[in-house]
Amino acid sequence: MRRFYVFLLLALTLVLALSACGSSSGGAAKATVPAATQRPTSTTVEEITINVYDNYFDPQTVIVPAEQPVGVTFINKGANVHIVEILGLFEETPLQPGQSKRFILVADPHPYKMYDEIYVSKGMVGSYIGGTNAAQATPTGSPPATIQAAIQAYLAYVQNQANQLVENTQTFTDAVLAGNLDQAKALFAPTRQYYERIEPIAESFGDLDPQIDARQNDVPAGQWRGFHEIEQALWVQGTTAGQEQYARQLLADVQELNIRVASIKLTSLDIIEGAVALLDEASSTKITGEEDRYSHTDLSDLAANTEGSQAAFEEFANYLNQKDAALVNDVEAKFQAVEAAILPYRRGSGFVAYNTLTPDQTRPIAQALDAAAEALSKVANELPPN
Amino acid sequence: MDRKMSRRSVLITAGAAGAGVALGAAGYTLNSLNNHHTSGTQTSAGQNAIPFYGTHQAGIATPAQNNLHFAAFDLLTTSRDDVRALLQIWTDAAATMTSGQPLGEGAPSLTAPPADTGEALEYGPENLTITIGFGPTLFTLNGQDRYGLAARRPDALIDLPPMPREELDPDQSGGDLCVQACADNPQVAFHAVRNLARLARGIAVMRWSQLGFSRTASTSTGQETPRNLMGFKDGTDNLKAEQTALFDKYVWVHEPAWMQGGSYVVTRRIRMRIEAWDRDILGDQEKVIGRYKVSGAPLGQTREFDPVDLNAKGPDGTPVIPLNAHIRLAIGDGTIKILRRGYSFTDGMDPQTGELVAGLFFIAFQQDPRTQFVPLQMRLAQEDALNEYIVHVGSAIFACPPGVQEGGYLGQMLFDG
Repeated sequence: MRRFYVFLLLALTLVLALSACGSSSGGAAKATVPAATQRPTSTTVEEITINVYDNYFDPQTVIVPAEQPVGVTFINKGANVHIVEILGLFEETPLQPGQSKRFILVADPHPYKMYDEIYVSKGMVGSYIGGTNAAQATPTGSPPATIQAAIQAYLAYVQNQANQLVENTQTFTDAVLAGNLDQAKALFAPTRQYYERIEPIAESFGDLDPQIDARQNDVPAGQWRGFHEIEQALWVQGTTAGQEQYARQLLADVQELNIRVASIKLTSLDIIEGAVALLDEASSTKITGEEDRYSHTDLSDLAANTEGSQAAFEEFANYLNQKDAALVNDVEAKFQAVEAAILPYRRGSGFVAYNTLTPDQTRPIAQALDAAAEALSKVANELPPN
Repeated sequence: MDRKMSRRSVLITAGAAGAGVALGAAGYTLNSLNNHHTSGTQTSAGQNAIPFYGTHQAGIATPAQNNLHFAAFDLLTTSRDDVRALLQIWTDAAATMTSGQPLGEGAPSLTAPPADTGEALEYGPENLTITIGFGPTLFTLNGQDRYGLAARRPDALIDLPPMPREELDPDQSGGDLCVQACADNPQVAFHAVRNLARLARGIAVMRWSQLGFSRTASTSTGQETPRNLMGFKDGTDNLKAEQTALFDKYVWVHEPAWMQGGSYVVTRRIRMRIEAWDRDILGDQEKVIGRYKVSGAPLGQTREFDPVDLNAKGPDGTPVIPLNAHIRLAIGDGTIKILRRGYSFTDGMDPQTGELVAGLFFIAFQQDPRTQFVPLQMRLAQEDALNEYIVHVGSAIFACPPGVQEGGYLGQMLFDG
């Protein structure tokens, strides 16, 4: 593969000193740290090499242990001069062709934007992510009983989903760039789930949602890009040809989303309204089959919207139980009813094609979503004033 | 053995005399209609009657009535004479019906279908107005000049451009001709369109139709602002008929000559996501619209007609009326004004979701859609917070010609000029 990413994982409470073989987990593409980049003189500092080509970074996404020094070496392997920067970690640094430069960087546990000053507008962007344990897809452990703890837990969930969105989009776009049509089609819906679980967050940033998720008639002609533009190529034209620019743009956009998510501030009302909005999204847009009109993977998006809504709600369940346990039970029962409604259409980790469902089959799903959302909308009134 | 003639075949062979109107190659006769200029029937300009004749068609500046039946028609004929004949018949029928009189003349015959369908017989005029318009496809269809009128299609009668987020059903959009019937009584409004459709048989067919059950605009300062199906007052900031100078500037067309005194109407069938809206918290509903729900006052103000202050900021420095609130985007910089004259509708249930099919049948009259409706809707479609809760599913544009005097017919200057 032309691009790969180095993924260094560590447990939440332990900091591991990595050996020469490195370690990796998660995602579909694994990579070990090549022995050539190991510097025997600094065994306690992790070492990364980022190659700079014309005009892209390789690896484009780097996840390092947060809050410890990491040696990062940029090597300009292109013919152009490149001016590289990791925003917040070091200032713009020119590299002549063939030149390399090493930095010792300590990242906070959030993503940083990596880019080339000269070619950023052409998409020469990457992500340098200070990571914690990113493997959790669902909240675990006992949800906290205070509002502040619930908000923090939800923010961590969103960041986690955003991190996984970046990883999965990397793999998806790699398949597109490699011309691997079948793999790209297989990865399309699973990748989107990380976006669909947190879509209202993305929408709050204004420009990012249309760039990532617009359908063809949502935007003026000539401005269409993102998942659905690529979807049309994969399913209607049956090709990845010509999609390179869109693939790179999509990855850059989800990386940007990931960065912005790190500094988002949400009130408990924002989160619960967002949870209702996710069910609205499922019952208004996904249920019509107009979201994934080429791949007919709408059920996958709909399930992800519901999961994201429930995840948000669950963070507040312990707090809400103290105020109105009957409401909590009601909401949880209604979420289960949604799952029961879509269960017949699950196939392995995916779903049947949405266009095979008749109105008699879609209607109970929509009605279950409406019932869940109506119950969930009562939660807002139980929250403290912001 | 001769086959016994069926009752049906007897009627057909008896021909058209007195049984209605046959148009086209067989010619037509007006004498089966109530030609009320000569029959001596009073045109009651009394209670609840809106005069049909005048400089402008009624139903535009008329204070909005509560019931709508709107229909778009497609012409089957290739003959310009047929279209002219239809317009003459429609004009006369409209004048009759809006005066509260039934169609037809003399005592009904037992061997002829009734000239008037009868369901409005005891009702008076009920403030019925009938307004007719010409769609772009009357002039050109698939590049063809259908009736020799293509060169006279006004520049302002555009094909509406695609807009973001719309999901238009072609079967609910467009049309060669339109009829807007508004009345205080739904049966009277229904009756008007039904009878015009009947008179058009063989010449034009109905393309789509829309019933509306409650006005969603005030078009007169004498009217209380109604509520649309989102529960919000709608039409507070509308052009009002008393503002004659503003009507001259924003509603009435001045050129070309055949359109002078007419207006362009844009209709949009807007479906509301009722179930999702109903579970939105009140504070958010008010932020989406930009007004308080119960009073209709702009956010930050007290009374419905208090002026909208788009510059007002709250104690935290954020705008009182959010940047994507509907009324902020509708007002824009204040330079675009249209006459809204829409109606609430419901057509039952969506079988795919079990949800209500209901919303606002938006009707707007203006002098030039290119500088009024189109830029306004482009702005709303891109930014309006309301977009979460609505979707445009039907669309049409028509040129409503000027009014007529007795003896004339709607569109006369276009067809005869």
